[in-house]
Amino acid sequence: MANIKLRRSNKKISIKILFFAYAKEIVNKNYLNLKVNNITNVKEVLEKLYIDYPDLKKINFSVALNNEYINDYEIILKNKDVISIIPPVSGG
Amino acid sequence: MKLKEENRNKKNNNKTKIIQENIYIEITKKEIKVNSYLKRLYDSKLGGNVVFIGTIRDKTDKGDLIDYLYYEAYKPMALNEIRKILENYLFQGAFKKGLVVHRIGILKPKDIAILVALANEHRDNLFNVLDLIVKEIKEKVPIWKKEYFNNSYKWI
Repeated sequence: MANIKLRRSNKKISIKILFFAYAKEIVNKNYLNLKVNNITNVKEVLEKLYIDYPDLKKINFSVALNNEYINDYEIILKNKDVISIIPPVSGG
Repeated sequence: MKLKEENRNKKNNNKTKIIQENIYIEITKKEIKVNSYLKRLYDSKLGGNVVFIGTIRDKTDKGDLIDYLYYEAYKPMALNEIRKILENYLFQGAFKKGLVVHRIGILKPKDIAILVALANEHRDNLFNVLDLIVKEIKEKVPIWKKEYFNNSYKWI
């Protein structure tokens, strides 16, 4: 049982992170492709982003998963999930 | 197989319109020609048509003269968020036909940034519904603008 768990957690999945407006300027990229452990949640991805791009911590943003806003950052990611970093919007 | 999927994703990301029986939504880089869009709304059964047109002002909130604004959208999500907002009121029976057109790219003072229009049998509560829809669009839809003024810029 323990072995199965270990094997599962070693499996990698591919995710994509999209950046917009001033989040895009902080990261200096439109998107990032990441390979993460298959038991990674949204919060862990954000923590990784904060390490690589500390200025992201200074801004407010919402998060969308596969184009839907989410409030629960404990959601476990699936292969090919798309996370969007959405700074406060200002359309109209 | 992978290529097909990538092409499909690309297609979804490049989508600029949602056209349904009672709803029309578009995100465009082109000038918004109000009359040609409003023709989509006119209906012999609907006598009340209310319209909001948002245009670009020539000054920032601090009073600096604006050269131009740059609008950026996350199109697939923006279209879908606008659809959800309109459908919420449509399904409550608040209007019979609705359209939202948002312009992106570079806009100058007096250019139209957004057109929101609703039609119903009568005008009754339609002004109020229009106002609520515009507010929700401004709060939820992933569209951003950057003001360019005095050789600098600011995301707002």
